[in-house]
Amino acid sequence: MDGSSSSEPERPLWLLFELTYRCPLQCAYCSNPLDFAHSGRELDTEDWLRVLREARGLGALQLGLSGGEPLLRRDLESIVEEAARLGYYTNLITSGIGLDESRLGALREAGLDHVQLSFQGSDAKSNDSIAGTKSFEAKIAAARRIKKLGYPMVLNVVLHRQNIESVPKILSMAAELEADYLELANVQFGGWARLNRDQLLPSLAQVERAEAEVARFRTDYQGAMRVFYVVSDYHEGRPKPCTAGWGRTFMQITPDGTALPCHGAQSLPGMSFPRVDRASVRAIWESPEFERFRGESWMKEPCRTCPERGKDFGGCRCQAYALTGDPTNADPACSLSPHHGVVATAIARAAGEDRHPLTFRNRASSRRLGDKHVLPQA
Amino acid sequence: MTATLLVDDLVRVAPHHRLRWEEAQGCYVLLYPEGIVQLNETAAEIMRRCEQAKVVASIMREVQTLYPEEPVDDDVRAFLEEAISHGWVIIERA
Repeated sequence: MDGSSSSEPERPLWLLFELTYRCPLQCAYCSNPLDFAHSGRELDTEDWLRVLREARGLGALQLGLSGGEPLLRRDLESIVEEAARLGYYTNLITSGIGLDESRLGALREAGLDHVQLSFQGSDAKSNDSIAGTKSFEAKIAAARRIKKLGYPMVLNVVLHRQNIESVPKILSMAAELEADYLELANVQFGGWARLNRDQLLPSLAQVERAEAEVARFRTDYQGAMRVFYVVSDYHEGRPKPCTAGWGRTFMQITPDGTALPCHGAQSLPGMSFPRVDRASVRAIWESPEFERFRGESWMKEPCRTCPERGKDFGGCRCQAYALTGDPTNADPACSLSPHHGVVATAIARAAGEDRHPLTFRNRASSRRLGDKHVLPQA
Repeated sequence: MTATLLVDDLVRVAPHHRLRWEEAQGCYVLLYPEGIVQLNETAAEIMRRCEQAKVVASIMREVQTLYPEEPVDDDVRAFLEEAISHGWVIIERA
């Protein structure tokens, strides 16, 4: 990927289908919107298949099937089959709940390439206290089935203050389950994670210890598993290149058919995103909403002349909006942002957190929150 | 961890990595869970020759026929070692 950004739209190489917001888990860090309970009717199978065809015509290659829990869609196999026929590399991003032998067999028949399985912790107590649902044993069983069928298995574990001290145990668990890849992803503070940020934001010392554990594992471990570690941008001082740049290589579609350049985009003010049941994928990719933060012309200082701007694109627009009130600001995770202090404030605030209970991600909470988001101060 | 490749090593494209000609981009791409790699012509010629396990020396010989004017062995080895370090190609030791 070269560093230059241009206003010429590239291809949506990476497609993410959020097939449903329904989910058997209630993870407190979920990136689904807080108001998911107010979402419209789920797309029909035919809509998803048409989007697959249109997007492939634009050069889409990697398909993520996610949600909520994608296994709750009975047409999942049909979607996988059409995607495989069209030449996509298909990834199932799942909690593992419902991934029994017959389902896994059917998905393999349909041509599924790969499974990404989430774990919320390295034992039942830790896992289930974040997932909000008894699920650890079912995940272990799913992992064994996935490997038995010869699939490559990526384990994804979101790290936050409640589990970051267990990184060594998470590493051994993943190795023992014969994961081919382990992704340790420090939590990003959108959606439900934002609501629970005081309880989820780790300290700098915790983050540094976790990184040391990963480094030590990489030195000592002789096996085949590869470990990806995704840093905590709040602590790193460098912003994340969100979706590798707005509208450059990624398109997400929500359960009701709204097309987004990134998962937080609906939180941005004054934007009305196009829908796949009303517009073609090409029209969507070329829409003003997808064009909004492409290239560099929207940037203010310090991003506008920053030598890193081709690499990190100024960070995350949604985070800039959430923490500074203006989506054209530099992402305050960046140490060069004049608003960088809000991040230090958030870390200090989380350190003083007095054991308020987590708000679990479920329809009841989502309905209660409505469109009046109950957020901590920036 | 870089592998030192021997000419009689058996190599092949790693499991669940898919090699595909992508018309829209006019090149071969390698697809795997977290990535898409665009392959230049030589890289694609090498990868195509180890979709099934093949001995490094055979790959070198075959690629040499495509570029009769210049020695390719070092480039083939260098590319394969890079591919192995990324996990795109594996060595099947007997």
